[in-house]
Amino acid sequence: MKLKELESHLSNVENFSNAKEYLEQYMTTPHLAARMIYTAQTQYDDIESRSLIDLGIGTGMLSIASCLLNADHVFGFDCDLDALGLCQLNIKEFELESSIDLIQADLRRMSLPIDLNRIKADTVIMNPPFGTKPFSTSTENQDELCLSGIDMHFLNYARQLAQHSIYSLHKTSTRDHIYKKAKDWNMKIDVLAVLQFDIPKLEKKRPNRKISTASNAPLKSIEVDFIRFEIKDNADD
Amino acid sequence: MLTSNVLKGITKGFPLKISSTKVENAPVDYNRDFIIRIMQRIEYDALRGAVTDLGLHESLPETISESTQQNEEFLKKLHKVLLEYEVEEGELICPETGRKFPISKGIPNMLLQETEVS
Repeated sequence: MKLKELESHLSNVENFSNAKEYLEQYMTTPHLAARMIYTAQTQYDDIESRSLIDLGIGTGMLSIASCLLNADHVFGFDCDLDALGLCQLNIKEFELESSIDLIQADLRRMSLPIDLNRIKADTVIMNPPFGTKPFSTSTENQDELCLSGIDMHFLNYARQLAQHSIYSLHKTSTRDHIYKKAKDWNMKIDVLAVLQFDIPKLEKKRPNRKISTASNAPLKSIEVDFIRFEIKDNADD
Repeated sequence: MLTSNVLKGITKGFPLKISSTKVENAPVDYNRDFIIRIMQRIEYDALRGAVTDLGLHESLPETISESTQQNEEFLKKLHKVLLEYEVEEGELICPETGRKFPISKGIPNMLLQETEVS
């Protein structure tokens, strides 16, 4: 399948109608998702016939893109039941029910009631929260949640789940830190592209004004690195 | 879906028992190469346990030998069990602690419960 064709298919993925700002539910656009997954396949052969894990699956955009490029199977994780419901609708629309399995789990937590070793996949794909939120509005008990460096927290889970490689997006401004972490974690790191990512520009709440939500807020563009991590201590290598 | 394997596969206190109130069965295109690849990753005994838990009328051989793994009939049965059965409603039960993880609309809930958050 050609890149343009992939992007065109992905334009049918339904976006969040009421995105939750505290979860940073910004959809990976068809344009970005197509380029990420297309690159992972055509340059690295990491999608077709591979088993995948999608962390923070959201609308299912990256997983659906992967299945359109013939991924074997995807396990998608998200903590939010509304997102999982939307994702399920999208999966159904693309008739990919047998290729993508969803699991509700909260990756913000420091530990999961799941044996990560049992569910390992060849490739992990993700568009993690960037930790850019201006304020936290979650009302739930946050004691056990990771609130700072959330993208690195996702990456830490990803490296335990990936047998071979990880594709992820991170703010360009944090690149030095990511290089350092990748070294600590013994991963090869390649910044494949610098992309513009539009995220909702949220205003501080004022009592008289209608509260803007992530879905209807004006957008601001931030620079993000599209990064490929390779697990070095893989026995196959 | 691969539900039975996934659910079995992801849990501590392995394998979890499955109980179900609603199981669906829908045909899925057979992909032999995929089944052969996925077979390497499955805990076969756990899968057999899941088939028993769910009371599915599918007989899987007790052990799989080299020749079974090439047997077309066996591969198709594996395909059916792994991909065509889906637990829509039910729960996963940890054999050690008795902790239950609900399955709703086909999605297992592996969130920690309030009482587990210290």
